[in-house]
Amino acid sequence: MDSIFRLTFLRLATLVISGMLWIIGDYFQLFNPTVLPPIQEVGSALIAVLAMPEFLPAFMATLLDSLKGVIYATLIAVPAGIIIGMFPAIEKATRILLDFGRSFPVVALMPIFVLIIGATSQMKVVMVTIACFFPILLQTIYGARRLEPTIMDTVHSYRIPFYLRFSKVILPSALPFISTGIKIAISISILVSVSTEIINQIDGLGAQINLSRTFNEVDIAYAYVIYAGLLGVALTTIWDQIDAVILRWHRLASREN
Amino acid sequence: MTDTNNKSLAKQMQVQNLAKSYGDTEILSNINLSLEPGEFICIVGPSGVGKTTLLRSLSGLTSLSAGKVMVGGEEMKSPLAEIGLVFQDYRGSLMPWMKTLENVAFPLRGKGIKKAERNNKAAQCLADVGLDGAENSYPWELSGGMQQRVAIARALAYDAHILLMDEPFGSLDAQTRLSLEDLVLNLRKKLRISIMVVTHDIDEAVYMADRVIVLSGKPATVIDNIEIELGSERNQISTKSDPRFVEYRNRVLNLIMS
Amino acid sequence: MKAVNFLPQWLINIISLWTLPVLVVVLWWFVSADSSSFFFPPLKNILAVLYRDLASGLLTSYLLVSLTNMCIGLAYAIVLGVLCGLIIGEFRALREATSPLINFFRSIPPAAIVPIVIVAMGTDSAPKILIIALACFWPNLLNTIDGVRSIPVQMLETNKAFRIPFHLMLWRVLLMGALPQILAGIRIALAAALVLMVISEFFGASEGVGFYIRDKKETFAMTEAWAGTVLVGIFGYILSTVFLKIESWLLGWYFQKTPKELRKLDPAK
Repeated sequence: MDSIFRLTFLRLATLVISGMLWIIGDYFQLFNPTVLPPIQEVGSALIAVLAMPEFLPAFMATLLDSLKGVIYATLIAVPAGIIIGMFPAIEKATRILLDFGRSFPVVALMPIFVLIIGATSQMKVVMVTIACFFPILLQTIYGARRLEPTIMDTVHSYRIPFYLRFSKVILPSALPFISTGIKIAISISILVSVSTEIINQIDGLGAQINLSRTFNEVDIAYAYVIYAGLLGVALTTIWDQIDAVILRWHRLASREN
Repeated sequence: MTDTNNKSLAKQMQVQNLAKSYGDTEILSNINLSLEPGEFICIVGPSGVGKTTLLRSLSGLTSLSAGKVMVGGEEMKSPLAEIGLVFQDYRGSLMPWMKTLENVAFPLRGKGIKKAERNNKAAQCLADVGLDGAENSYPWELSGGMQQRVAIARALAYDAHILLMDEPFGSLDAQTRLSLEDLVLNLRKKLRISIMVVTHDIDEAVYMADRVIVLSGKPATVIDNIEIELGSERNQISTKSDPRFVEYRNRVLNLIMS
Repeated sequence: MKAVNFLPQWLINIISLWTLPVLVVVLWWFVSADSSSFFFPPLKNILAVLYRDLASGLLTSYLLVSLTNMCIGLAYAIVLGVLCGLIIGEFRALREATSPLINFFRSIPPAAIVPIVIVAMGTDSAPKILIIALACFWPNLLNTIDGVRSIPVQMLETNKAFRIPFHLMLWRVLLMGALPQILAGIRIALAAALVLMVISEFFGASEGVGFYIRDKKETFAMTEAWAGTVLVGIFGYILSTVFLKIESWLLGWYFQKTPKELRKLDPAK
């Protein structure tokens, strides 16, 4: 009880101190109000934005396109990752290409994709899918590779059929890693969605940030920025819950064996 | 005993009515003991009794709930320069990014001693523990026993006249353990320092110590204080087959088992 | 394996590593060779344009501008992030107090504030450096905190018992002990810096590699847009490869002389 009280106090104190620094800085005009508006304006914008008719469609557009991208990326990356991870020769052959893909800033493809596909939400989904592909792929490869020696032993001594090996051994053991990959991908998806919306004025929170800024409503722009951040937090928190369920199943399954 | 006492540079350490609790749980209660200059004592007790907590309290790493620790007649408030500490887990206490020499010299650097001087001193102390030539190795290139010697050398280099050791040989294999026991005994004789070792190994305690202090109970208190009169020369074979050794050992064992 | 015994091991390694990448480039070259598609110009033309603009100094000076912004932003972020991380990581109360706030700030997509900062501060270097520094600050901070927390308690206590003064503790014990995670944080930050460099130059700039790509796209110079994109890709690859080498060199003690095992230890590599 004592420590919970202490923790709450510490955290509240930090919030109060940060808020006061913001107010004091604002009072002495330390911040440029077009970069950081006063706290009370951002606070009221946070509430005002919720009542705006364009808020919900923008929020949903960012949310749904990000999720679509994560789902497409998972569907492609997981099977590919398991195949690459299962066979050391393939892993070695693809290593340099994967290193290249991993270090490639996907947003740089945006102008080319805008010309090819157009500034549409499909294009946004394509960007998110590509950006989410690599973290999921790399985690899956890692998860599948962890079992390599065991797999070899199993193959040699028990002649387990391939489908059984895949569904009972490789997939469950790689699952925690795949889950981590998806969690990384989720936060990347919001980032890429918002960037794409900002640069190309595609429907979503990013476009609203851009519009509000153009109309000089910096406080409204900040409210959208904060909601974009909260969306990321909410999605990763939800994924943590899903992950806990998956891992519990995984743990029970391995205990039965 | 008496002639080493006279020459020892160490100050007397006295523990008066020490108690330590975490939250509502009292770990140690009413502990009284002393470590005379040049003396070697071992603290034994069943595992989980609070031996490590006692050693941490004596080194100034943790605050006391009651009582005090006096060193040379003055109350200790925080870690002192007279006290050197050696932990069981040498992996966690030596810094893997520093070569052996720097590990030993690092506390001297904290004292503000010049580089040439502290490196000299560190090399000297490494030689004292039989590690001359290992100055430029990283700790992880050395065996467990050698790493523990580095930790001992570090405490010596710090000019600690009182050495507190927490299960110093607990992570080592039996062979290495015996040779390190003798190494510590020789260091004590040569450098005339006081040593307090916390151990769960009764043979080790009786073999090394001038005095064995038995800790037991919940909260733990000192239940016995046994003078080990086996002379100042100890030998792994003859001392351990001495009937008095067996007698001491059985007495301690009985106290701990009951 | 006996069949290939006549080849030395290093040659087999190079062949198995590089066959596929080379094949991909060759395939791209020949498939696109006769391409008349506006969207997919021949690789030959892309590389020719890339060479032309690099040799003329236009793209080289852009690259230099982008690199400078990126390095300055990254440097600010590393210095501040590591310093704050060491202190927050060392003091439990500070760590507990700031954790919700840090979690909130790091989840804000840094790209989202690009319009706000650039419209307010203009299109020169300062706002870009600010954005890059902001994006790179959080991975540096969080990894440093994690790194400090991963230092064994016994190591901290030993140093406390030997009364190591705070400044020495900070940069000889905490910094070194946290170094593996700090470098991993810089690796993440490096990727973020590259992304934010490109985005900030897409949004508002009059020079830089990002500006080059966007500018060429706007004038429908597809080959040039491809050339800029390829340059960014090559650049990202070189940066991360070089950094990995530096990392394994700096962490010789951590990997206990087996930097070759680096790849196996960390899924991110």
